Amino acid sequence: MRRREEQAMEILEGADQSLLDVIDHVLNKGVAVSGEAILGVAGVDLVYLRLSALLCAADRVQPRSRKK
Amino acid sequence: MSDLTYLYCVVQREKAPPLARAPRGLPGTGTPRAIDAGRGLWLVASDAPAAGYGEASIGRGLQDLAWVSARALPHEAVIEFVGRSGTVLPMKLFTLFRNDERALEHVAGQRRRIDRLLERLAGREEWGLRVLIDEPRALERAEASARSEAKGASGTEFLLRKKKQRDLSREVIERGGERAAALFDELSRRTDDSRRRAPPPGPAGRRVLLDAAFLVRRGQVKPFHAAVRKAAGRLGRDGYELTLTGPWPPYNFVAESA
Repeated sequence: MRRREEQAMEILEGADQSLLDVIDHVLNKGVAVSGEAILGVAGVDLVYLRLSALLCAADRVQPRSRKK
Repeated sequence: MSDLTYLYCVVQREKAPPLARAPRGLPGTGTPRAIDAGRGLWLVASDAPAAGYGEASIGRGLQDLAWVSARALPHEAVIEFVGRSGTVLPMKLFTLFRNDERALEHVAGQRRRIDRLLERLAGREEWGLRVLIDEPRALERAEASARSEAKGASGTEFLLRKKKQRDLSREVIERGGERAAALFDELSRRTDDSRRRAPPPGPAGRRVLLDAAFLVRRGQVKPFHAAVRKAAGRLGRDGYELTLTGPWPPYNFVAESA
């Protein structure tokens, strides 16, 4: 049972988080920013970036022993 | 051209957040500094040259994953640092204002919503969960169990079992969505808030069934992990893989719709 869990699950904390996970979290995916005061990137389609972030992160999910 | 104001986050604190040891922030920007927004609220921002952070530069940079990466990490690092000194509302990457006054105006205009959010986010952290199904592996497992049953069977029985094997495989895959939804519901009940994000179409054979964020009270992180681990044990048998990431500043819980 324990072994099965270890293979099926990976916990990534702090420094273990991949760069792409970080990008996936910090990117503005079209959240409405109000007013011309903001020069943000609300209008830019970032879907492709998020996609590659998720896919690359998915590749990393190989069976390996759980940390700690 | 004058500098723009790059906003990392808003933080709730009686006194200014200590930033002397803060990470340097985005390339080309000034060191992060605190701007008083009044009544225990501070903006953490830095000066960003319009040449490198204007709309055109960002538009160009966004085509380049390496360029984005070199900015995403420092952005996250500054917010994590500030998050240790108070409750933060993290801004998304490239939240820029023409100047400090505009940033302050924006925050003042949203003050009621911000105060409400801060109350909901205090003492909590975000955890991300992805559930994937490895389709070839899921099929292999279903087939292996059907094969072991078919050992030594007669011709007719063998064919029946072959059919059963096919049905089983289909079921494993079709039920993936349902099981992911059930897991999301279960974990949502255990946490203070949750967001399900539309999973992107994965490459052949590896489908992202669930991409979700949970808002977890700090004291509840251990039981939350235990629940995810339990689910991983259950789902792992059938070819599912779970990835839990965190703790994150609550990026997914500060959106306008929240």
